[in-house]
Amino acid sequence: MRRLLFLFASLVFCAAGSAQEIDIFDDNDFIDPRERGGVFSDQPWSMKEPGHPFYLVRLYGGAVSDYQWRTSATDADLAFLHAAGSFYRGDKQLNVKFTTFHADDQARLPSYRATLQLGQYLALDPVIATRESEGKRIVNRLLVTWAIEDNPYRSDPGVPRSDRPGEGTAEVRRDRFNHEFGIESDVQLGNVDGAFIWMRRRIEAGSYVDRISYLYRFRERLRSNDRLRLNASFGFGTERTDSWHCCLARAVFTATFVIPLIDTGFNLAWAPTYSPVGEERQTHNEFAFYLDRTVIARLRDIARR
Amino acid sequence: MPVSPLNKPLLAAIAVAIAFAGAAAPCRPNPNNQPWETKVIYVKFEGCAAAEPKEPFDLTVGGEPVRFSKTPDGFWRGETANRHPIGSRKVNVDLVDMRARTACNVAAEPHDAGSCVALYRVACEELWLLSVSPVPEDAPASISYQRNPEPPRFAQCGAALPTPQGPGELAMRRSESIMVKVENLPSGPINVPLSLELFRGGRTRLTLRDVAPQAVAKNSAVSTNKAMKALKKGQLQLVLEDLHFTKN
Repeated sequence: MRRLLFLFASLVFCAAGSAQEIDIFDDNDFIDPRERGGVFSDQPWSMKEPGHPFYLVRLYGGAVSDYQWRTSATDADLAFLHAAGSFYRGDKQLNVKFTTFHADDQARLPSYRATLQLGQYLALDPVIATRESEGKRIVNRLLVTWAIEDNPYRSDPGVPRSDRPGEGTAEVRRDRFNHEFGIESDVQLGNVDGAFIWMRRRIEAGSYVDRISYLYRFRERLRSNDRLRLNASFGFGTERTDSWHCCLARAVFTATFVIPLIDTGFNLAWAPTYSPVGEERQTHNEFAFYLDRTVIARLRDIARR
Repeated sequence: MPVSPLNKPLLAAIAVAIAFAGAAAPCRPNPNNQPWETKVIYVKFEGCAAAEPKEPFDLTVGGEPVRFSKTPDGFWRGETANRHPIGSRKVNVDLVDMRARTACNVAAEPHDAGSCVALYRVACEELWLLSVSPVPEDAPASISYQRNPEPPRFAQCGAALPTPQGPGELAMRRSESIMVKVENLPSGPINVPLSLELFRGGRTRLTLRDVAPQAVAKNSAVSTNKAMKALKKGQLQLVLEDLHFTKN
């Protein structure tokens, strides 16, 4: 019964993803608190030992072709710079991310996005119990996200308040920023590792767009003396504006070649996306080449504090 | 380039000569229908040319110590005190200084070296030496090892390759990988996988910068990512300034 409750809670709290889920260049930053020396108590929401605090800052920079902006293929080529800071303490995680985009004016994309995420790790019994999973607790994470980006349409003429002739066009000013918030839950169901994401984006006062998606991450594969790392993820989702529009399917394949001397990864990524466009469906291919580097990684030894 | 018809037999003869240099030539049948007897023993190492002995060495052949010296055609030659039937004695090669693992209970075959002698073909596999050293040397790091050997190609002689406790030197088979565990960390052991392939391109030393420490597998919704890798390196560096892996 407790497992069912936890599953229900996970599903309720899962859906809303970090802004721009399955972004072609955004890495997963899940770290099991037990890997930092943390010890969970019998209750899933508390810890007996907090483990070592850890924080890191990663930088990414590169170019993307046919950038996928939420559920829309933009046909835009852009350059980007992405900074992600993560702080882990006890069973909590704090992420602060900032992304800048540079595309031509016709692309109508935001020029920057800021994201704040709060994560809560919890240890649960396996939802689907097998003989092998007996006695094993699985650490999951709930991630609450708030993101803000500048509105690329903010300079457009305002929307008339009334469509009745003769009443003039007192305009509703367009918002300067777009806001998104939502929740993501990384869960393990049997042998399946995935994330359920729910995201809500404010269009204007009283008007929202909801997205629900599921993301599955394959296990990393290593080649060439562990210098070549191959990752893949797959997601699908649906969006509600006036009604639910189903479904978008997206995969992201990334090959990372690491040069240890400069501690930098060279990444080549491909993200085919199959999405509804009006009454039809189309496949868009997003490509990215970017570098990534961990610029700060500090583990605090609690014995030395 | 086309080969002249006149040169073909010559080329074939040269090819045959090359093929038989160092190769066994069977003895002509014994007219007595008995196994040939000999005092002369030949040994041929196959598969570990770079690790063969460089100096004369001693082997026990049928309980009798025999000294072997290198011949111009690549064999090692020795003599027993008395003649014995070829095939009646077996040898085990377990030379301490030989950086190779060799086959066990090798039986002789007749070999025509002018007269019929006993040839022991000893299959072998080169070893390489892995040296693990913490920086600083007296760092309080508890280091242990877990070998991941591939099944041997032949039945081997000698005990299992010794594995030190803590920093030291390990003899490794070429196809073998190893997990170096640093265990005295609050988060639990961290594994550093190593194999000969990591030293490709002439590299003889690896440091923490060059390796990818692994988290010991736990039950998590996500197994590994770049953030986890950065954490593992940070945990090692809480205890060690560096960890050096040297290939000899």
